[in-house]
Amino acid sequence: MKITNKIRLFICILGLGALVTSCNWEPDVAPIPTFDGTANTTIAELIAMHELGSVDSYDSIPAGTIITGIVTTSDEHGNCYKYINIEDGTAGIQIKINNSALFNRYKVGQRVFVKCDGLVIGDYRKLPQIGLWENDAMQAIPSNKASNYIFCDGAPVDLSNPEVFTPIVLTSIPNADNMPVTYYNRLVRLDNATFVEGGTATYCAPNAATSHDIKMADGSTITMRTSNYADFINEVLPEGTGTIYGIMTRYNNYVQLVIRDLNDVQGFSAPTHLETIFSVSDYTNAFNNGWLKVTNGAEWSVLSNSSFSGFGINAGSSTNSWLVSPEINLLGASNATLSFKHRTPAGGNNNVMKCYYTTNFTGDVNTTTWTAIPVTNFNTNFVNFDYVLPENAQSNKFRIAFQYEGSGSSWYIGNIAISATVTQ
Amino acid sequence: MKKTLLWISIVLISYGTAFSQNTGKKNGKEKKHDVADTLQRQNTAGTADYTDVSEGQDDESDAGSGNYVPSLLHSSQDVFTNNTSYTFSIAYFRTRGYDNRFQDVCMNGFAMNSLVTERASYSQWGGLNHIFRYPENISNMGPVAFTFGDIGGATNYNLRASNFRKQVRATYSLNNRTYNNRFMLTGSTGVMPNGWAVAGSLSARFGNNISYVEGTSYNSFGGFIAAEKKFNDEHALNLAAFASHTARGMQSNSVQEVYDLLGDHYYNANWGWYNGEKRNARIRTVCEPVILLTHTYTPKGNKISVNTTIGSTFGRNNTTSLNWYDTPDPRPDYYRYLPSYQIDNGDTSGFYQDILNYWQTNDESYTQINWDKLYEVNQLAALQGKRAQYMVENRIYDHFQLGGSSNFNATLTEHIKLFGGIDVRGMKQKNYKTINDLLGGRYWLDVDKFSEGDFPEDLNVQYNDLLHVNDTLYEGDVFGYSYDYHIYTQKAWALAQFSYNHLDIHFGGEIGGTEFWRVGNMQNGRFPEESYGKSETREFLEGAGKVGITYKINGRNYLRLNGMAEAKAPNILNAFVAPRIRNQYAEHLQDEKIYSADFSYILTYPSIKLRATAYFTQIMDATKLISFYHDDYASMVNYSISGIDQRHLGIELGAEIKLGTMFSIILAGNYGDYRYSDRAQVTMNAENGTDFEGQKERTVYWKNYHVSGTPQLATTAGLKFNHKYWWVNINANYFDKIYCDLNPERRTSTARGSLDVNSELYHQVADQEKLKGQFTLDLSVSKSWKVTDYLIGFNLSITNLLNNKNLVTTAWEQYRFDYTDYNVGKFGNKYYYAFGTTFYLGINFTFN
Repeated sequence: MKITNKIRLFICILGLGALVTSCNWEPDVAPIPTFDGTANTTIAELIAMHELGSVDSYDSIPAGTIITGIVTTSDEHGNCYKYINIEDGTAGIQIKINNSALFNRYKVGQRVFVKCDGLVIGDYRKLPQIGLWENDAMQAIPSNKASNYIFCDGAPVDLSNPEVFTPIVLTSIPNADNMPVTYYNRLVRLDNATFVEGGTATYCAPNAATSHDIKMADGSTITMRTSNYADFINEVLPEGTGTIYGIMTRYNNYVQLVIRDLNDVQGFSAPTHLETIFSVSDYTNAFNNGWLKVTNGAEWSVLSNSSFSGFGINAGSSTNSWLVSPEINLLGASNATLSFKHRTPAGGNNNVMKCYYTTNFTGDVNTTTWTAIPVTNFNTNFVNFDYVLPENAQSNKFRIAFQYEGSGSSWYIGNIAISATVTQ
Repeated sequence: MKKTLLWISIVLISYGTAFSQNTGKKNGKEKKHDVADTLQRQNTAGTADYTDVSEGQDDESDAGSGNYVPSLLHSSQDVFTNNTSYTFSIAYFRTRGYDNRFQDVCMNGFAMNSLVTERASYSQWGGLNHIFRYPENISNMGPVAFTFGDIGGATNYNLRASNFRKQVRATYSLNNRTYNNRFMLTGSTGVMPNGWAVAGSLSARFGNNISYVEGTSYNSFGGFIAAEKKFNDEHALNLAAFASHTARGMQSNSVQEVYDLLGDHYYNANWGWYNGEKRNARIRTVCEPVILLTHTYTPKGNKISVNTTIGSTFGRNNTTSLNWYDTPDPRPDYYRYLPSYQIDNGDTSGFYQDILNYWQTNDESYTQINWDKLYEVNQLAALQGKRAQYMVENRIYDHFQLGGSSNFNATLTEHIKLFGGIDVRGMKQKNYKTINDLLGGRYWLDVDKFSEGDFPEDLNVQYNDLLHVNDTLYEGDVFGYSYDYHIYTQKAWALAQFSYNHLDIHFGGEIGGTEFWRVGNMQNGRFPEESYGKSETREFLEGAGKVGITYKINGRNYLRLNGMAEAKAPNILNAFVAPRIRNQYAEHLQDEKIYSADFSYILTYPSIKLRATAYFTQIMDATKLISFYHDDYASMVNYSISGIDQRHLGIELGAEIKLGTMFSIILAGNYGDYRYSDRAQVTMNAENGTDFEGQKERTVYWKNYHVSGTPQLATTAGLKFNHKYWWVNINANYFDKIYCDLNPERRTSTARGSLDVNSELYHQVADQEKLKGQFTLDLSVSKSWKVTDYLIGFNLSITNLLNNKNLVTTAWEQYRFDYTDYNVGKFGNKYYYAFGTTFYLGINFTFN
């Protein structure tokens, strides 16, 4: 046998192996679960089994009852807690589940089937809900038993697609008893709605669930109820008029709305809020992080101790020393406000202690055109100083500077920050 | 691609054949990885290599003209196996990705694979390396003379006293692996004039002071005795008996978070300080003696020989473990004791800082088992007259096996040989737990912690044994579960081997059957009607066939095609849905089917040896039972997986090139692709009796995911030096395609839910982790001297010279899955890492 034949054979074997081992076999994908069965009861029929308002009274659900519906709630942003709502076009119902991360399994738009054997229907302050009958009371379904009752079917659908889902649209809010019972626990859309406290209040106080009134075009109102565990509580309610989506709920004789997240609030003029856009987080390393000093006589230096962190200068003899900030981007920062706290233990005045800004630093304090910021409130103790920067300060090359020109006193400056109104 | 594959498999299987090898010679390869013996093997190979193949066949043109071309010799010549079995062992390499239940291990032809586990337990002869040094190995599907063999090959140890020549041999070795010291002393008489031959061996292995893993221990003593009487030229009778008693403190495995916090890949959660000593909660003790009585019949003319062995193995394999009731988990690396659990719960201050600190400073009262606390809890309970809450249990497996096998070897004509045999074995294994240590507690009650409270209306549910309700139990008492496995198997096989000028052919078949049943010794409160007494019996017909054909181009070039098909009974360990407590069989129980074929090209020149092989194996309908805590149902579940299909494909290459008389270059490697080739079915049963209604059955969507347990890519390049009884080997190795073992639950529709396939969370849940490829470097030196009548041997081997501590040998996903938050990290993957640099130093004295 010739060498070439051998090589050919050898390559053949390796090639055979390489052929079968080089195939790109994609890993299997488990299909989204489907429910093998059909619903035999509408949610409207289900909630008709129970008379609202009968405190601590629950109604059993006939054996074999299966309902289906689309999930409309989400606890992803913390405003819906330990329940999901489903609706089937006839009505909506709240299902209590003892789990605070339900959105992983029951996403908005997810179709679920609920086998109601072992569940009961009742209400909380006239809001219909179902849960587990245990220890002679209705309980939230334990997290590890939910999958015995609730079955997902297919992939979630997009509820914002009008071909898939149409929410109930309200332009006027009737009172709680006139609201059709089949509207509760459902996703509704409020058109031409206005937050009464728009622009002046946040969605929720930090420590307690908060109510805010929403006014409709005809003057009727509904209360928006927001949990302090929601992750958007610090946002300011928008001003103007817009569209609000939310879950229609009820608390005795009050009609309430619960939004899932800020995407439920649409079409309002943009809310604004004050935001810190510059501050000095680490004074110790300030001179490594862009702060400059120009020293003639005494020197600007960093002080950092338990009671004070900031810059300071202590001029025994004749001094003309500068402290210049790094470049700060103030583009689009309307109403930018410079603030700092300062103290002059031996007294001070703005002939000696001066503050400036520029939008065109040349690298040399003497050739730069500076605009003075009149500091006035010199004090032997720390006092805060605020100054609203004029519009011409809105530059991406904005800098501030402090100049000490004189002798025989000291100046300490801390908490240097610039905040501005930011449009979302 | 599918079509191509199908075509390849059809061709390979239908022509699937095996290759002729002469068997019955001693073989230098040893499956078990042991440095001393590896070196010994190298030494032997070093002297024997290149001399015994194809003498006088140098001229290729001669070989092509119809002359007889010698057959390939047995696998000690195999250039791939010889050069990889030791160097690849650090990465737990498995040839062709096979589980070792696919390798038949025999002693004097008597099968040593346990009928329960299907695997041979090497610990039965641990330490007796002087005796078990030179097994006869047939790799993969080659023809075997002593048993039928499996796709992973077959091994036979000849334990006839006449097999050991007259010699006294002593060995001492020192190493820093599982034990530190080993002494071995062996003496054999050879065949004495009176026809008797006697051989005996003693071994001790102990010490664990120099080790990578804290808190482990090792104590092992073994003994072997064989006596043979040769009555005449035709009959000889041999009795061999051996035992090894080994007690070792075990190493645990942990999640990466723990290893990272401690900066130690060898953290061991199994131990804690107790009375100033490191006490290990998991001590494994194994003592399973073997007795073999062998009759050898060699009628005059030597056309036939018959070997018959009656054998018995018996003994105990038991492991201690912590158990607890209604009290915090005592394991220090339990997920709730880790910093990540605090973060997941939103706490990054208080507890989190404390816990982080305990781990970062390695506060051993927190990072190891706090025995004092366990005693304290129990003592307080005892003062109040209450039951113990912690204890150490002992999980015991007692077995007794008796069987016989007989095989013959007949030379029919110059060209035809016939082999055959029968094998009949029966085994009973008792499985139960006892109380090993109450840790200062007063007594124990045998109730199930997972069932209690789930069925308040049925008090019986909590009792593990309704026959002993409310018994107060003390140390030594049986509790929890107790059941016996009974297995019987019978097999008959035959193999014919034809050898012609340019063609060697063999084919053969095996037929047999296995039956088994379970006997429950407790009446479990969850399943009172199906736990006590004998289950129904299940019987399975088994069969196998193999064929091989070798085309001998000439004495230097060979083409070889081997094939095998098998149907094996399911393993009894996977046969019951909840074997600890129920007689209920799993559904879909059927034979496992295996098809395998390989095609090789082999070169055997004096200066170059080479084998290149492409292989294909399809395993179908395998079963597996796993048990774990299912968070979605808050219950221990038994997860009975059936229809497991695996496809193992790959290429093996081994080459040894001689450079002059002293040096050789080694190149060897395996590139495999081992995957699940189809979806599997699961039946889920709760151990606490919960009915899962419509969710018992589920499909595991793991097709094309990788089978774990071995690096699928392993390569080595080495240099051998051999001169004046000096042997030096240096090897550089690279391992890759190491995959994490899968949790099947994470590949079900239930776990996927409605996750978008493109979402990050989906990939976190469904993707299989691939570990990083790693390099290692090995060096070994050995030398022997002859001083008067003594042969003195010395060897030193250093493995993983570069101290690479990042080679993961075993990785698996925990079966617990966080259905609440889909936080895969909550029950993270667990890992074992290969040791850094280890050494082995051995000294041998042999006196003939």
